[in-house]
Amino acid sequence: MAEKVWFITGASRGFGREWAIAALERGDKVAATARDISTLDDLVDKYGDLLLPLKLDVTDYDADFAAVAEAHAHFGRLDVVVNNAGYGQFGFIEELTQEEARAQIETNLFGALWVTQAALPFFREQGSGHLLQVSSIGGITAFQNIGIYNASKWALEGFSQSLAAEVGPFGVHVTLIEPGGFSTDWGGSSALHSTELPDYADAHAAAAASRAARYSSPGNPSATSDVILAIVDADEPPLRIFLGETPLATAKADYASRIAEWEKWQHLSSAAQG
Amino acid sequence: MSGNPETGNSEAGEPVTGKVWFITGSSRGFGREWATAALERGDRVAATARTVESIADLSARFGDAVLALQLDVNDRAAAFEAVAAAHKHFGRLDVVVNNAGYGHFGFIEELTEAEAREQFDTNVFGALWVTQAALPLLREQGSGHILQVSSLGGIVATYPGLGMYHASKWALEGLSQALSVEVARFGIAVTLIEPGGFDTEWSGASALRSERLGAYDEIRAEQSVVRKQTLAKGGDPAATAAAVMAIVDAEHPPLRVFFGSAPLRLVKREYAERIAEWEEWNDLAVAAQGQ
Repeated sequence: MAEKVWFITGASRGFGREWAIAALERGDKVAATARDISTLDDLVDKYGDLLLPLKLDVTDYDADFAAVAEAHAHFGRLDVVVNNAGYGQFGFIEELTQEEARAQIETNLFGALWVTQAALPFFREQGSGHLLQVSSIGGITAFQNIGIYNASKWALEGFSQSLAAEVGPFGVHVTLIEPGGFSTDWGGSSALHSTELPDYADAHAAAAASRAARYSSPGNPSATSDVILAIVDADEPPLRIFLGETPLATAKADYASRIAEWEKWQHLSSAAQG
Repeated sequence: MSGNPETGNSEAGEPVTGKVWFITGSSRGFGREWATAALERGDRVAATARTVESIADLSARFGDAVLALQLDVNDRAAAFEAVAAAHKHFGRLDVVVNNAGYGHFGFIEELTEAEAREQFDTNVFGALWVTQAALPLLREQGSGHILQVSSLGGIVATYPGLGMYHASKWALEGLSQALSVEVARFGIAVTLIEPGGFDTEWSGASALRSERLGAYDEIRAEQSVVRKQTLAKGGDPAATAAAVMAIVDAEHPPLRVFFGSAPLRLVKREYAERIAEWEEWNDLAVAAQGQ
């Protein structure tokens, strides 16, 4: 298989770093972006010219277009664009400040949207390309104390599914990667937390217990690399794929519960048709 | 479904026991239909619109039962002020309807930065700010019902040309599902109303459109045919009013309800397809778990 050229945002740690290393290890070329480019120094030392480190804050629209163009000019093509940069904003809906809510959407949704827009003209011209959007089981179902994160990932899911229909005719693939709980820094040092309202003290305890139960056996991030390589090498990659053992059952249970509720109220839905 | 039989007549100045509503985007479409239906049964309504002149006729017809408020939901401080004004004026708040919104048409590659942000500002952040403003008041009452006007397009997104609208409604869905768990303990209900196609001005005068890229003209033409077929079966907005009254009067309202007969079948098929794809790739998903 011919080597691929990747563009990966948020490559300083977590999945982004794992997948950049996996691609480089097999001889692919990678444009790796990070807000702090020094986090990529060890990869530059190890992989040399295979790696193009780029300083990028994905919330900067113009900088996203410039970074994608630079990667394309440097390597001569772009095969896989991975929108991985993102973080979790914890907080009950009532606790979120305007700045916290907007910043979560800026990074997780608009950052991915701008990079996607920057890549599309190159993909269309090539007649090929693969966008990997790092979503989450939290982009399929929702949990208390993380509603604005859910909003950002659900939004990513919605536009990416629509996008797949828009760019399929040009030979461009879109895959939503939906991890369950993994032992990345996602819920730790990468996460942000709103100031807690006293009235929600009991709710915070309940939310923490519920989260602990969901993440009782987190996955190993390095085990995801082979799966990512299999997805980008597939002739017909999926629109959606989970990472981990638990998401499928979680999603099926949520969908079944939604359908049961919609069916229960279907008499009203039909009456509303007029 | 009728309202509270003890509902008084506010025009006569008698004490009233009906519900107090706060409805954004009351100038037209569903917002106007539901405001009118609530007022006709004797409920009181704080009706907001970007221009207060567009709801002057409601005040003329229903008098003191209406509080007309100028509001652009994109302005968080203004949203908090409007909700506080409504609560102060009527003494309570029972039903908050986040209805203000519009559809932005454009392929993902065609969207300008401003177009993408504005779609999200109105459809998601507008609803979020009004929701945040209402929550302390509803928690203090120990009751309240937040109605989020979503869409069938907040559940499925299989068509091209509406990606940012889908993003906004999917975001509203995710946020509201989380919210429903958060506030149930305070006696507050959340319902996502998901209309299929209706004969509102949603895809007409209310809609915004991106400048077109020629590369997408062929797909756009195909999509236009599909859309016309769908719109031919549009529902009657007036028929939704009774359904909304039934939902706000329900002892246990749903988290989600479709408006229209077609969405259920479409969504069941879409969910079955998603599950089939996830299952097809689940060996890889499980392998990714590692040790």
